Amino acid sequence: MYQLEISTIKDVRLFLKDRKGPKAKRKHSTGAMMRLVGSGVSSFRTFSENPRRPLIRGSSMDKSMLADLDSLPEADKQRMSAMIDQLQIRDSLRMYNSLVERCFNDCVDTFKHKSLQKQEETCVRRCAEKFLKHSMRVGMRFAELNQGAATQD
Amino acid sequence: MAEKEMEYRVELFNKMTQTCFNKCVDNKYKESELNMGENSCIDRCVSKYWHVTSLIGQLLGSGRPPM
Repeated sequence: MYQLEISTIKDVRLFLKDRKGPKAKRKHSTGAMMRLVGSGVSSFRTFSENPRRPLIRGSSMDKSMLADLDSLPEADKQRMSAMIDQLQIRDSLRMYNSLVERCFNDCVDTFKHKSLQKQEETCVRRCAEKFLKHSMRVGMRFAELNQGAATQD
Repeated sequence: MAEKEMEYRVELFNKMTQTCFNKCVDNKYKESELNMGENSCIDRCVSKYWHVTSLIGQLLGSGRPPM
């Protein structure tokens, strides 16, 4: 099982917690969103340097969902494994971007203030957690259906 | 070819996730947990999506455009 650990959402939480300081007034929504992306990018860099510690928990794209690796000869297994890692890197980043876009669209509606409001913050937090849990569940069912389809053939 | 197959699967998973989230989860985000209704909705959504996928695969695979 290719377990993925979180670092992006943790970064988001830490970042949002930070914002209560005196500098909070100077930060603005766009900056906030950019920093969210920035923290994700730096996490991504850590990830790409050390692929053993991947990026986002709950994308639940474990290798058994994509291919039945055990039935392959060794050389092919390596190649497939590398290919899957590549796909997962790309997919993690894409998922991160789409999650930011989704939560921003759903949670941030007014621009009276430069900084994120308390309820917007809470909303974004819930949005991200909910989506990740949803993604995990879908991954579970997808893998089940995959297995089922495999045995059917 | 296997690479195309895997890319297709990744794409399928992503689209499935996006679609079922849009259909099943309310965007008010009252809480961070998925409730029972949302859970069953997700399960059924995934199942139906899968059926649609295989159905369309069959229709396309029969070699002629469905009239």
